[in-house]
Amino acid sequence: MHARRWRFQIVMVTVLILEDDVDCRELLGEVLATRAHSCVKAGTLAELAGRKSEALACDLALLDINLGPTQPSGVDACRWLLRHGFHGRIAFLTGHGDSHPLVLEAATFANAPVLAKPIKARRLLEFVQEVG
Amino acid sequence: MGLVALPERDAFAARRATIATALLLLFTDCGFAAIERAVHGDIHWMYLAHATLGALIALLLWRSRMASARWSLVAYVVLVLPMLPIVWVIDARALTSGAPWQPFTGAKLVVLGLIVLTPRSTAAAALLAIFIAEWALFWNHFALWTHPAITASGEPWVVLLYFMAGLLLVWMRWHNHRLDREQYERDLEAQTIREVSQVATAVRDLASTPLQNLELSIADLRSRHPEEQLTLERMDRSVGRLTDLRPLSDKEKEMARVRVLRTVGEHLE
Repeated sequence: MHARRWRFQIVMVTVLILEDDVDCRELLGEVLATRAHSCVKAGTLAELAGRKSEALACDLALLDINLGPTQPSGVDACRWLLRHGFHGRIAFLTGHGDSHPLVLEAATFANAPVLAKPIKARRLLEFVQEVG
Repeated sequence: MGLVALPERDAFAARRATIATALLLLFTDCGFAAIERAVHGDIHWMYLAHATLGALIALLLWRSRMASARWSLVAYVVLVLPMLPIVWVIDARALTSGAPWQPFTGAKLVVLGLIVLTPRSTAAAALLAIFIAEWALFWNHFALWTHPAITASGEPWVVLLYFMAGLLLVWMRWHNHRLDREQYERDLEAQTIREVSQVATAVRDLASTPLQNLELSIADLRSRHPEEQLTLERMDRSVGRLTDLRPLSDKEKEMARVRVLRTVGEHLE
């Protein structure tokens, strides 16, 4: 009964998307927009820092773990967010295996699930809805 | 750091051992020639011929860095076999001269050399057998059991002891070599698994974001063009199959491991 009720209640969530792949970033934004969620997008930690106030106001941060070989990782971004008082939920997105050092590091953050790529659009929307 | 391939490692060891033997024989032949000259006043041509052969082989192998283990072994045998007549002639000359003689010094030195320097332990065992046969022939030819000075010096037991110890040491060399090979196989297997695992992980990591994009694109298309249900389902199935390939990486690793073990096994045979 409860499940049926939330399925029809659409809660708008502001999602911070940190993803280095432009296509993936835009597509995540578009899929979330179909449920009226708004997004703040960034490709690197520097970009994220540049939009600090918007980023910190988000309800959910979806952080890609590997942001490129020369860039700080999603784990660094997570630390940055927590250091600056981010109060929303954090989730990691990754294409790496469970044994990758960065994934292992990401798994140490409490209440920050690590979602494996490719994640189904429906599963992603459900997750965002749960946060809301 | 990668492992050096087994044939290359064997070839390097065989070439090094053969060059060492050639140089050793060159110096001992020259040394014995000098002793001969001091004692008898002349030099036997066999020393000089063998020293020249040693110098030639050392030079040839030194220059040909790509010599295979087989060629090095052939060169080694070519170096060692002339020792048969040389040992015979030296011992016969000493025996017939009537001068005080330490019996079979040459044969004992040859045994020690064969144990340490022969590139392959099977070849070492074969050469030891040839030299003991020659020694038995020599013993019989000169009827040395009737020679009081020789029997008084503990012969034939001392020489036989040398040969027995030689065979035992050669067997130990063969055993150690086998253990070494087994360790090499294990290292090679571990290295291959590591490499295959790295490749599989890299492929999986690189494929993840494109697959994610396809997944989200299909979802986007579905929301915009729900009437294209059939096409969207086909795309869904294809992406699903590609996604299912990722867990296969572990199976791929296992298959690669089996392939490598089979290749190593064939190579060792």
